[in-house]
Amino acid sequence: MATTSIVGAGESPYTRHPGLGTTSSTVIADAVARALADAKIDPGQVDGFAVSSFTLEPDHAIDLAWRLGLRLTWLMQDTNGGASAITMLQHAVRAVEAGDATTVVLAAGDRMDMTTHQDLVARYNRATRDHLSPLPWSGPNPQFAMLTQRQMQAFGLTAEDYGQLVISQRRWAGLNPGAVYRDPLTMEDYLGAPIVSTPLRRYDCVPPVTGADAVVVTSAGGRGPCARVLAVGARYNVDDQVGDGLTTGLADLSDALWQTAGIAAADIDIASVYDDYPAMSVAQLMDVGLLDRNDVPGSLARLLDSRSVAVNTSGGQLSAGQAGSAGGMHGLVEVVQQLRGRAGDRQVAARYGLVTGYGMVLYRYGACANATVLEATS
Amino acid sequence: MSVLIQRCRRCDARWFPDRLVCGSCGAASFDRVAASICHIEQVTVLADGTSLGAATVEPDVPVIVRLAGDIRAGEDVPLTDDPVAAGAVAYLPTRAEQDEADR
Repeated sequence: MATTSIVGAGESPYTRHPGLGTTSSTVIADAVARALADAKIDPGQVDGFAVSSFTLEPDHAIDLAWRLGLRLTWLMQDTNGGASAITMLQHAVRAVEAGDATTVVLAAGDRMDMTTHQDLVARYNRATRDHLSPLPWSGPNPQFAMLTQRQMQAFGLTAEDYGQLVISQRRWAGLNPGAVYRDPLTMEDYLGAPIVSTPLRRYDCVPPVTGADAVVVTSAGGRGPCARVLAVGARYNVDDQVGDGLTTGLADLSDALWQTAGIAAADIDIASVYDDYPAMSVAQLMDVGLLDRNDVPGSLARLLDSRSVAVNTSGGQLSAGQAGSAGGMHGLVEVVQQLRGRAGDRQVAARYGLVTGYGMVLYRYGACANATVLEATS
Repeated sequence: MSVLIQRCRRCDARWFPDRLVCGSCGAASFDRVAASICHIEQVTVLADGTSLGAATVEPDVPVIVRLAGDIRAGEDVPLTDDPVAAGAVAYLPTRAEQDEADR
């Protein structure tokens, strides 16, 4: 398990306003090229490829591989949205371990303009199309607004607590030239922003962007700094959508994840948690043991103030943007860049990194949760 | 005024939206039972004034509804699948679009 590493990462620049010639395929191709250049690997060496995109149709993974000129022994396409990056990583690690491939590129991205986003959320799945869109309904903000209410009630959280998380991420985004929103945010700005779905305000909701992310997974070392995969795991549909959504599958996964990694949550230096909404960041931080369930507001404030674990240092999706299916890959790319010492002005000293994925709202909340623990090595 | 909810013939578990296999007992045989009331757990108001609720249908089936009238969390509200029903009601869209593969 501990022999497989991520040796390169790249992100096609995120934008709120994609140009006419920009497609999902072109931004994914750009991210793949950047990741391979970062890894100093020639495209001819790639023998494994996986992709996740909501908007690739009518193409599939093999069409994209063809158009990218890849000749492969391993290929997959993943449909799990915010969980897709780590789902693909889990499969890629096993493929490399099994010898099915030696050099695997994982990519995710979407051209996500407003029309595409509206079409996607309206027909996200059968339950959404039939039982939510007729309400009417235009995306998952209401579900997570009501989940946020449940979390506030259960753990004594306030709007200001969520605001601190959002503001902290915006502070990181100010150091990330790739983030679409970089201007400093005050608590007054946060609380004064327009209500989207009570109690969610504008800055609690991710801005859809166009972009893509990619990483290179290989068993080969010796190319300089890399992120060794210590553990990767997943949980899907842990509760049939009949719970309160305040815990994710990570709560069930957590013990096994840390045991496999051979470290504890307290050892983590940097984390990218899937931040589609602040409440879900809080839920995941709790589930993996980085927040105290008996004092969530206090432990959250301490975590953000001390930066004992640097959380969502890219600015997260809330400030950097959500490029459709790349939402999960964005956090993975950020932690890999940090562990490889390539994060520019926002670089932190980090040996161990955590990345979580979450997503695929079946009806009331996300049904997919996964995580990986990475270690900086050279 | 009521809506129809899926019921497992074997173990009586209720589901919404419909499942292919009962998550409680694994059976794949269902019928439908009428539900006339839901209990509102949370309410959210959208920017355009639309009011949506997280609710439960007896015994404890979670649903998402659109609320008409001044309805608060904690209230029991009549359920309807009529999108233009009058009065203080909770609208639950229940009609499933038939897919090509279902025909």
